[in-house]
Amino acid sequence: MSDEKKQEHTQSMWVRNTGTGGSRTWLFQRLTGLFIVLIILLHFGINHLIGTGEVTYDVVANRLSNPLWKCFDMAFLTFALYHGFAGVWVVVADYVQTNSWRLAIYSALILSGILLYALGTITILGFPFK
Amino acid sequence: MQKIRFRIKRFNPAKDRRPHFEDFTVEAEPETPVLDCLHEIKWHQDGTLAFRRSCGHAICGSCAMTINGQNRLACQTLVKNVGKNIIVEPLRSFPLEKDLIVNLDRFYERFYSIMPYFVNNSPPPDTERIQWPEDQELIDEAASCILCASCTSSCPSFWADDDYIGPSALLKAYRFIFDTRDQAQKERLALINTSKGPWKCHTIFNCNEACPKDIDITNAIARLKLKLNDL
Amino acid sequence: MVSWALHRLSGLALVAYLCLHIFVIHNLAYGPERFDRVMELLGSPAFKLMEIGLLGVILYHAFNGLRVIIIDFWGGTKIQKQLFWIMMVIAAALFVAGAAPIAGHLLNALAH
Repeated sequence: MSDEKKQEHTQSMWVRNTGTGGSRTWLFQRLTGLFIVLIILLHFGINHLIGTGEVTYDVVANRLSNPLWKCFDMAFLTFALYHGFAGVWVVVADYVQTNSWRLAIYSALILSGILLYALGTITILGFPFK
Repeated sequence: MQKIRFRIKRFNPAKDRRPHFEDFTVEAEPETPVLDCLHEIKWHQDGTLAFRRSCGHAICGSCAMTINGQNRLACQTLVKNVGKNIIVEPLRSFPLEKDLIVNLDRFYERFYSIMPYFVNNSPPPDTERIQWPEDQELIDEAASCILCASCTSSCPSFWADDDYIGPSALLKAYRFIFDTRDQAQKERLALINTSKGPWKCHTIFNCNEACPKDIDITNAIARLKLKLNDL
Repeated sequence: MVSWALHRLSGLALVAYLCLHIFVIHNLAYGPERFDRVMELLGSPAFKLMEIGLLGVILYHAFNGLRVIIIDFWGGTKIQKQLFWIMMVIAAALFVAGAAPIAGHLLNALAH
């Protein structure tokens, strides 16, 4: 490897995952994927096969009054958001090679991920709101 | 004998700004290798046609090129395998040198980066280092790689980011990491475990389809991913 | 390669959907009237049709993802194409089973 290339590599070190080099991201993507498949099958079965698929305030209020449902929905939110944003992260790593662009997109991803997670958490755990 | 139409991508760095196609017609038997047709063109029609070849028997890996959209060895591909209209292009994603010749510096740089040599510091026994057949089976396929670059050139992850170490170098890493006689497993695993390493493999299978030796490269990379997760 | 390309595209579409979904469901915080009004809009036939599409995208992504997990952890690279079609048959069966009730509600709503 030429010195220039080595320097380039060192410069892009910040996008490298420290320590595990990306192995855990890869593993978590598969684990969360498995969980989501199970959760989504349950979600769909309960809402559309057992239930009528009708979503009204009363139906949701009834469900969210149950702490178990709150846990279920929180797990769904956590895994799905993580899985989705980690996926976008990988796509960006593939196609965006300019460090400044990558920094901008990654920052936006982290920020919007946190905001969405906060919004979802408020909806699920904050219910009922009055 | 039948007439075979060739569309060959040409590029002369001294004259051309970008590559273009040129047509040739060659008389060939169905069992004629594409490489022989290229020789026919070079020797009797246009002596400026540039391509790499050496052994002509699918063991040196020099004549890998994109034939009808798929990376193949020109010497191993027969006319009857690809039809009467044959499009020949240089391997994708490597810098073009001339006609069908690409610059493979980056490819070899990746290859060298994983320590592609046997490491065992224990004193050698009187005879050879013994290995059980079932241990050899793990790496038999991987060891038959001829470094033709077909796999790396076929990989969409490499198309998008040529800093990716690529399937070929990962296969070579697998070949030594899973060699029970080798002692540099930890070093090699650390060398490939970067964001440009196996995590850029998305199980696309283009490498497996391109490999002229039918090596299960995707599987080798999958085993590396598990190993790196201590699974 | 096509399975991977579709996996990426469906994944990106699902992330977009997830973001919208979180925003829409957050209308719960603004009380029953507003939430039911939004849900009524989303209960319209056009959205019901999109819901069926969503089910298809989810099932594709889920079952191709399971195929990748099988290959990653247990092998099966040599039969990856057969595995793909096995997964797609299961996904298609679930799609029919899942789309039927939605389509039923949709037809009922249209009849009224």
